[in-house]
Amino acid sequence: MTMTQTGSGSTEISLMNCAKSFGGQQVLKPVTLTIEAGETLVLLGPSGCGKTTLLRIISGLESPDNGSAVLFNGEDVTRLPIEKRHVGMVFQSYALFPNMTVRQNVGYGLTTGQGNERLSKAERDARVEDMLKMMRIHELADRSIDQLSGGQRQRVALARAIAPRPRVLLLDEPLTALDATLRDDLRMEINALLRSLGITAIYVTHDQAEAMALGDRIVVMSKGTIEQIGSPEEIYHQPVNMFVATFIGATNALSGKWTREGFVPDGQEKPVATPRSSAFGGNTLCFRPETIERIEESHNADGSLEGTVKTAAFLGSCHRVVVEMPGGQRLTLEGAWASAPAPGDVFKFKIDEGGVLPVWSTNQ
Amino acid sequence: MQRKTLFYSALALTLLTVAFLVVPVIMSVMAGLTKNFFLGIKSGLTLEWVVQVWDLYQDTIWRSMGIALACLIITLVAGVPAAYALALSKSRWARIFEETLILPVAIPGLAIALALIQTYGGFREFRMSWAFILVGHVLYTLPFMVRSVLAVLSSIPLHEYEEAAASLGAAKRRRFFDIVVPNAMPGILAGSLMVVTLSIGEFNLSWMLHTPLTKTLPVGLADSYASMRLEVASAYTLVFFIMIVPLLIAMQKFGETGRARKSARR
Repeated sequence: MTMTQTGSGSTEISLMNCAKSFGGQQVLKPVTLTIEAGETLVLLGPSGCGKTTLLRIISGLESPDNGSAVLFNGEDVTRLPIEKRHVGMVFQSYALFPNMTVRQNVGYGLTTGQGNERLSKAERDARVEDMLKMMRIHELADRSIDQLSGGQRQRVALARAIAPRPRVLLLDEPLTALDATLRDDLRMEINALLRSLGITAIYVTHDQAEAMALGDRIVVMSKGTIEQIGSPEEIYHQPVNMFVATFIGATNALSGKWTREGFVPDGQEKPVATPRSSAFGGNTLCFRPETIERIEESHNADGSLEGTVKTAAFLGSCHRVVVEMPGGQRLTLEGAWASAPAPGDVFKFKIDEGGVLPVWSTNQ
Repeated sequence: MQRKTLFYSALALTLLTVAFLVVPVIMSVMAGLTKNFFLGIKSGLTLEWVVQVWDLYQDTIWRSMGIALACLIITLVAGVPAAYALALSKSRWARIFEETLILPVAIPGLAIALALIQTYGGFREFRMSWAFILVGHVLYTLPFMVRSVLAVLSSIPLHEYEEAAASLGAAKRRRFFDIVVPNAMPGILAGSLMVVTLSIGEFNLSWMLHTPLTKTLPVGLADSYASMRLEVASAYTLVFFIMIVPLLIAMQKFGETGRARKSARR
């Protein structure tokens, strides 16, 4: 892959109190956030959480409510329309121009004179050539858009967006319309591309696996507000609330109550081995399926839990079981165990001490 | 056996209907080419009447073509941007405007012409020029252009193309000429053929709006029916046919390829 530098160097984006209302309803609560130069930031959340609205405000396709400000490297661009912001954008539906060939699509942004860049015809052709080679769509250059597959279209859309060397690359669910295998391949490719370009990128998705794989930082959103901002590891291991814990990865919420000695699950008398109770509250104990240790049935251990295996599956790299606890609650547990558990077996386990998530709910 | 009978009776009915429509056309064309219509073909064939029509009425033919061309230019310049604006706008007013735009099609041409004369008849120079007829034609044909372009623009994801082009630095004018016009081309071509055809054949408005010095082809046709030999009038019809039929065929052809392309995309 050829290295291509962005025209204006990397751009830092600052959002100040960015809010958006439609017809009196605030779909995006005020957001203040800085996206570092060269960073890939993922906006993650279920549909209707405001992530696309935030992206459109950054792009200039949507103007935010009064009192909001969008800064590119300190320059206030809040009132600049998208065509003057010098951003690259990739749309979910690709939005390639059907009246142009692949080559013409990729080159279009070089003809509009944005970013004060005036290229000669030869320079433009060379740039387009580079882009086609980089995205490995060179052999499609003179095809029309309706002769391309979904994956090819997405490559063209990417090439078209980065050809003018934008200050920031904005991607709105670019992989949603593709099938699963293609999605994985392109995801890796986009990742490598963003790293090699060193461009500031904002990527909108509802797919947590995509967010984990691509983001330097992830912004988890719901109902128009930011729930948490952090690295993929932080978001996964230290979710700040139940929404984040359940939206990212699988989470078990074991119900019971906190005592001086620790957490006592429903239907059990002894507390399980957990961190000090003072940091926790509510009446649930949350943990990931894989942060447990399986214990031999004969072996006695303090703070262990046991239940009956309801379903068991071998996933290749690990086993996954659904275990019914004495209180009737079901938990999903995973691990690479020597012996395969079978439905009806007694399953004895211990929750890893560091595996308890710092979240709880009180409304059970 | 029964199917065969059904087929042949349907065929017979179709041929009969076609004959009912085509025979008058042939009669009319023949009348324009025979020496004496009352004596029939045996009086001999001649181009004399066509030449006479050309001598007497060629100004109406040129005028009609001129008006049609001017009408086309105006409906293109006004209609395509209007369709673009209507396609982009989600407001209720845009929908109301779209509905009012087709009013001239529904209102009888005579009524429109009368209104134009009442309002602008006092402007002598204007009243006496062919531009007066042109205004009527534009009023009448504009909805066809707008509708035709709008239909195409509504069938494509115009908003997305717009946003993509804008993100690539294209301002409104560039987007219109680079993206909107090329993608609306099937509608623009269909609309253009429609406008030219309607303008050339328009009679109601033109008849009310014309002056003896600004006769159009159909007005001249009516005039020749009323005052000339039947042969001359028929030769005039023949000339009209020669002008209008290629346009109609082009329209038909174009509609077909448009449909074929649409179904291929599905």
